[in-house]
Amino acid sequence: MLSYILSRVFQGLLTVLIVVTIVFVVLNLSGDPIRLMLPPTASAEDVAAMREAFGFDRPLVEQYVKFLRQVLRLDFGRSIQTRMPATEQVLMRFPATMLLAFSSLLLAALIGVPLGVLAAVNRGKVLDGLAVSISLIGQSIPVFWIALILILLLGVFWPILPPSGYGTARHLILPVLTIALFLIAGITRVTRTSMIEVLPQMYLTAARAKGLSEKAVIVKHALRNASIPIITQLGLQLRFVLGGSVVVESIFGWPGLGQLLAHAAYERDYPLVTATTFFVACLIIGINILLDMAYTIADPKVRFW
Amino acid sequence: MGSRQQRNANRSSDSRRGFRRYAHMVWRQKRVAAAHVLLLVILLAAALADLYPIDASRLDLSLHLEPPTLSHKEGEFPRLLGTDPLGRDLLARLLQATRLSLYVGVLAVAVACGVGTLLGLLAGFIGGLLDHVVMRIADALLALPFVVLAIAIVAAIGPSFMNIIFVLGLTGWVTFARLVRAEVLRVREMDHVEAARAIGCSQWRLLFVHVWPQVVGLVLVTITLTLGQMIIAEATLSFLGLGIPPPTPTLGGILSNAQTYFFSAWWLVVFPGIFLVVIVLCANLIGDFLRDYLDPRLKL
Repeated sequence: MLSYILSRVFQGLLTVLIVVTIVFVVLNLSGDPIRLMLPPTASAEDVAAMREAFGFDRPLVEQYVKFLRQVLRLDFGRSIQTRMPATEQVLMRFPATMLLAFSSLLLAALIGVPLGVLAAVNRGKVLDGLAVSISLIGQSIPVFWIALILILLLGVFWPILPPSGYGTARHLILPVLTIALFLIAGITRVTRTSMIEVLPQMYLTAARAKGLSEKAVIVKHALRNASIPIITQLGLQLRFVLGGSVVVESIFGWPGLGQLLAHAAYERDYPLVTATTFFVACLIIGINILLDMAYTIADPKVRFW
Repeated sequence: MGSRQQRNANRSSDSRRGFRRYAHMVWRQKRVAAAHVLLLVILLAAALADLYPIDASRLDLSLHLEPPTLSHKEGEFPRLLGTDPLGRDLLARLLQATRLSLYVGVLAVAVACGVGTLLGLLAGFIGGLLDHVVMRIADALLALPFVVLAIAIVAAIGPSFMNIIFVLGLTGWVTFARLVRAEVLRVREMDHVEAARAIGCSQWRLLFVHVWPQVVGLVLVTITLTLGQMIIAEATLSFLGLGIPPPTPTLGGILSNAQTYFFSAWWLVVFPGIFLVVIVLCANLIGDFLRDYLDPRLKL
């Protein structure tokens, strides 16, 4: 077990290293980052001074090594806008995004999984058609449009919820609903497919023959065996949640990582963009490692030790 | 059994061939038929956008935020979908934006498909170090949400038409590479490839004559299913102000501006989104259909 965890963690760290390298390459694609940071009217001396201050006049390899050292110390420099350490600013924003991400994942799972199960059990009937349509349409709607339509419906035409802001539970509803609606499509689809594969299995017939209620057969025996692809899907969804949160947080004025990143990118605030990208990647890699371990709880056949 | 053999088997049970068979299969599913017709209409509308009687960039402040209407002045075309804050006709702008969306989507898919398919073929067929390097980079790119990566890149190189294509291609090739590689790994162990290897075919001949025809169906399906995602991605970047800069009309850009007018102009929020959803829905429906048509075994 320990050696499995260690090798997964090592793999994860390798991926983080590659992510960091990609970010470094990307930032140097533009040729001269200083030009982007300073206004176009800056004098040649200012540019040279700034370049020296940031070390951009050094050879690329040297810059790369220096960059890696900074990453190891989790020091990404200071934000160009606020002059605060970038790491500190990113960590400050974490709780708001986590609240948003996990509430919407939970809501989406609570709706999507039962919907997928019901669709699979009633295959070919009205409910199934509805579930298939929902997942097809859900895949084709951009998350920001869901947000705009929800604001238009529940914030403007029938104003029962605040269209933007942060603080109370009422402010949480619209953003969570937006991301959840976006996620339900994928979760329903995977649950349905996975259940359809499990349903004809003999062990379900055996469970029924044993006299178990249909509900117990479906929930305890079928769903548990169908759960691995569903867990995988939830892990994949996390990428979409964090990606979607960039847009959703910007629209609803939600003070999380996504809003920070969108704003930093718009202002070309380099250190902040690097730091946010790094922490988001670490979060996703970390959670995927945890999910790999969750498989073993869902299905004892998947034991790596 | 390979996809080609299966396709042949399908064909023998149905005397129709090629285009006629495809049309027959499409017609049997009304949804898919509707998607084909609708996509054709959208393509035509986008291609002929410049012929629309109202100039998309014509400002007219006397028409500030006019709601959709059929009534019109003498000799003028009605503002069917209303106007924006600067009095520009929304439908005219949407047609231009749709053309741009399709244009960006197709180019981005072409880049992603070209790079991804080639790397996937080579990684799967040659294996070894190349395979490791390509797959580790793909893993790393998958550890980042698409929007986050795209934003970081745009922040570094700035928003412009070519840069957006570059960003979408750079993030999109991973899907192609992973799917193609997995398929190549399966195909290269098949009997006909083994036989070709045994009679001394060169590596290139094996790859392009014996492996590639088995993979091309998967690539076609992935192209269709990726197109919708690319169009959504471009709209998302434009929405965040990181796409193709104004005054070029983009679906995402129009929606972004609409946020200021929630209380006064619902049409600015509703119609661009409907355009976007319809395009993507058509592409996805056709992609799903194509997957079943080319190879019912494929699961994506």
